Amino acid sequence: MKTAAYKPVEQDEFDLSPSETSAGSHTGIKFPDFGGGDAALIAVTAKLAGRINAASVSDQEHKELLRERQALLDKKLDGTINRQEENRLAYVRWSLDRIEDAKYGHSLDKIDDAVQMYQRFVDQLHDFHHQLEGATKRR
Amino acid sequence: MSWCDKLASVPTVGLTLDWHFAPAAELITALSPLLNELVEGDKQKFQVSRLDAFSVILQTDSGFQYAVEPSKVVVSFQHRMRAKAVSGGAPIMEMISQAQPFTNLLTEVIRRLVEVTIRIPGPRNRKLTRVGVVTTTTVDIEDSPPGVVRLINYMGRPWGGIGPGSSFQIAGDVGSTTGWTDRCIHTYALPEPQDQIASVMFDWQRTFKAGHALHKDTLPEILKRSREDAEKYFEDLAEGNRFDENGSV
Repeated sequence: MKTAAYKPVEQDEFDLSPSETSAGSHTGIKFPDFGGGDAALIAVTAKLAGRINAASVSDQEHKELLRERQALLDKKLDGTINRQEENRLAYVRWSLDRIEDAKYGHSLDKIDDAVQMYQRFVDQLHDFHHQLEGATKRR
Repeated sequence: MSWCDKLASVPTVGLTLDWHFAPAAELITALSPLLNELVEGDKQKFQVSRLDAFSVILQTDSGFQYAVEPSKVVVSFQHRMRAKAVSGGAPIMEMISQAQPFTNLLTEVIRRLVEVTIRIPGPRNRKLTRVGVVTTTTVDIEDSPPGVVRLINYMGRPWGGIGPGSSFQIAGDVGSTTGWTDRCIHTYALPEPQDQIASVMFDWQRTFKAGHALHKDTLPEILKRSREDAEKYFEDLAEGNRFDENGSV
């Protein structure tokens, strides 16, 4: 018995993907794409790897950075800080920010991603709505 | 911990030597004992990325790349990714190299560089003329250390900032003694809006006024000292005193 060759389902009836060959392109209507968008893979990988590294800072080094920041802030408040020390203070603050980011950044990023995804989806829904209105009026 | 650790920078360390044209087959033969260790079970864990008449580039699955040329030996680290099949979905990318702090990777890169250099064929009196230590960082500008931000702002000031699609490269002398001169090539590139992630590379180089004899006992010490000075310079860049027009430093 000969089996029928597998034939992929034709995509010209309905397709949620925003590709050029999708049904949407026939009518000029772009369908919303929840969670779409290009992922900058290398950037994400570097950020994750950086967080793993920053999270491994020892307590002693963390305390040392806090102590140095306090000493530089004291100088700043006294008005005795010089420019080089101000630059150092900015760098120490940045280092402490990275450590904090390693602790809480992932959770905050997840919230931020969700907010951005919903915002993008809302924009696309508005656009979709306008396109449907336009298509209805043309009929 | 260096800023390069916190931003997952990746290192490259290279040596410039007197020219010596050894056939690629001879290079591979010399490196063969190292390659024999790059096996897991019955699986080869490296690939030959390039094989020319006098040069060879090897890439290990763990992310280390070896390049041996007639006048250069370079070991670098780059994260490796592979596509992983997912049931009922599009493939996902998986990192096969291990995330490690820059300083740990730098130690490992230097260890491997020494291991390779002492094995490559060449005359006994072959000289080492330059050492290069490179840090490459992929980072959002807002996450960059203050000194790097200051450098980028400083360069973009005539145009009110540097936007996507920009890049610049500056080679500057950063020190010298009776025995050597140091310079650093500072490279910044920010691609078009689709990626929006900048690449920052600092290529620190020490050129010896008289070449050093290439010897397995002295090479680690030369590299250790070069590494210390390169890291010191990278930290100095991150603090940004060099780009501070308002400062007295």
